[in-house]
Amino acid sequence: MPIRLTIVSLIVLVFCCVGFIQKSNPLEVPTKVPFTVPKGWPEPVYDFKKNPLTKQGIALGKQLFYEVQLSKDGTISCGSCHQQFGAFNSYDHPLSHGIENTLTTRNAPALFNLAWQKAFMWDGGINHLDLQPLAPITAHNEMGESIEQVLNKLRKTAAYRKAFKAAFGDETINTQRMGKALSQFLLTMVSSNSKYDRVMNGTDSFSLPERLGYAIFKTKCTICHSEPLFTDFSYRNTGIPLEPYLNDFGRMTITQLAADSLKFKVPSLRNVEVSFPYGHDGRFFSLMNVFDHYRQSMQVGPTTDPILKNKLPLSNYEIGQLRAFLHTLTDSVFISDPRFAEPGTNTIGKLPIDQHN
Amino acid sequence: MKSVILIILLPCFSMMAMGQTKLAFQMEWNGHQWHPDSSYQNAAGETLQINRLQFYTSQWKYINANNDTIDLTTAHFLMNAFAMASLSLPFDLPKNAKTVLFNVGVEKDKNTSGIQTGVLDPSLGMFWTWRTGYIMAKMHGVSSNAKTAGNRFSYEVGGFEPPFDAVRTIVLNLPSGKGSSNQTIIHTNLAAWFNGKHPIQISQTPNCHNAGKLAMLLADNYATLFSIVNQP
Repeated sequence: MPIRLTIVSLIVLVFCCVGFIQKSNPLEVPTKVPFTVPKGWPEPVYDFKKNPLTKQGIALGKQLFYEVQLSKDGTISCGSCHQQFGAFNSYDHPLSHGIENTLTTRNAPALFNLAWQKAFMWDGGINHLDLQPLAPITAHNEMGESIEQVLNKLRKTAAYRKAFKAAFGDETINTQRMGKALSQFLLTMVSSNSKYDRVMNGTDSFSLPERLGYAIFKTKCTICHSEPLFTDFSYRNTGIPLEPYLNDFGRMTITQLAADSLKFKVPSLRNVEVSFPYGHDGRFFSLMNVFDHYRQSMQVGPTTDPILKNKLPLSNYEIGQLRAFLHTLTDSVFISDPRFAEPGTNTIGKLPIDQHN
Repeated sequence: MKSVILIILLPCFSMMAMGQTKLAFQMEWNGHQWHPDSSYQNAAGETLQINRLQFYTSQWKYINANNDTIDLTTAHFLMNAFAMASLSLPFDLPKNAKTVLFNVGVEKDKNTSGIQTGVLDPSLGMFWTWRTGYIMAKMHGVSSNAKTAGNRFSYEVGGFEPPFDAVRTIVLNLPSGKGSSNQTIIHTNLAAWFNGKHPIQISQTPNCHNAGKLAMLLADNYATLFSIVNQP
């Protein structure tokens, strides 16, 4: 009798254990999320096969994007300098703030349509989106933290162990997974719902100044700011003189070639209305400053782009129409999309006060 | 039963017949064993002490008696002069190998395909985050000739794209008839960091933190650190 009981209890025990093993599995498969390429756009350059978008991966990426633990003193997240209402630029800051009263040396660029971007930073020095967040995390005048310390902080947080498991299948937290999760969130930040896009889709129409501005834009600006991304991702010297305190030679720092002196990546003009100030060091506070630079104050030097060797003549009339057109590139859906918003904020849908344009 | 034992033992016998050896780096300074707590003089007469020395090795291959080039492993290794275990390589080199080849550095593919794991994890500090690229080799230390804060010198050498590709292929011929030693020592003369091919003076260039001309000079130098000599 006792032997029988033992056998029965053993069998029951084994079944219970097997039940445990099977129970947790189905929950751990991340939910695939498709990536939609807007109509008429080129294929993205990001390799989604190596990092397929999942609901859990995107959610983890968003959590990391707004995580202040990424900085040494717990004061700064990615979202501190990449604010949604400015199309994820640093609102009204020529240079952004780092930890301990430091200042960066470049203007934080707006973030969108990153799946189409081959290289990152104003000098193109970073060649993969997954690697990009490591630069602000480790820079002494940004988040000032070591990668190892960031990983240790995340590993100590139960919520992150759970989130990494949900996104990647187990609780391992390493640099690669952190980068991939951040990329997943960043890749979903597609800005393709501006008035310009609606006009191109045939569901809206330009006003007269917008239409005239578009025509001027196509004759004077599209060589570099080419549609539909409004940048050709090239590096060019547009006659912005060297800033003597920053001594930033741009692309030349990466390639070490004199021919690349003072060249910087052509920024996209999507959401340009809300992403002031402009220029690699944020020296232009308004669109008017930029127009004045091109038609008047730019300094033509040996590496200045040949198409700008006679500067870029613009009449007051043209500037007025161009400005009307550029405002059609503001994507109000994107800058108020709750999918990208910092959790717990209630500023969604409110445009910043435009002090300069 | 006998045949079973034979099947088990046969590979062992054949391994013994062929013979295998392990490779290990040994840090030296002009023929003497290098010690982390000793000061040394470089060719320019500058006294220095090294407090960090790491480099990647990869693409390990050997050439056999038939002149075939054979891959030993596809793995990358991070050699650290301050961690003895890292200096011994885990794979076997057949004793019929005439020549052993490896790269100092990390090839382009791993520099252009996002974040890697294992010894290539950027969190290990052998990676530039502000511009993509592995630090192929680094040497930090102090020297009174370094006109810098704390008299520190800091060489972090990288770059994976021409004309500033800092990866160097090392080709070392193995001495013939080297007997029964199970370990082959790769003598690593750290003095050559400063004069292997180009003279590097700490007083002139105490720092290297980017790809470019200086990194290429240092890379040419670290290509000359290694040798395998006849063991007694």
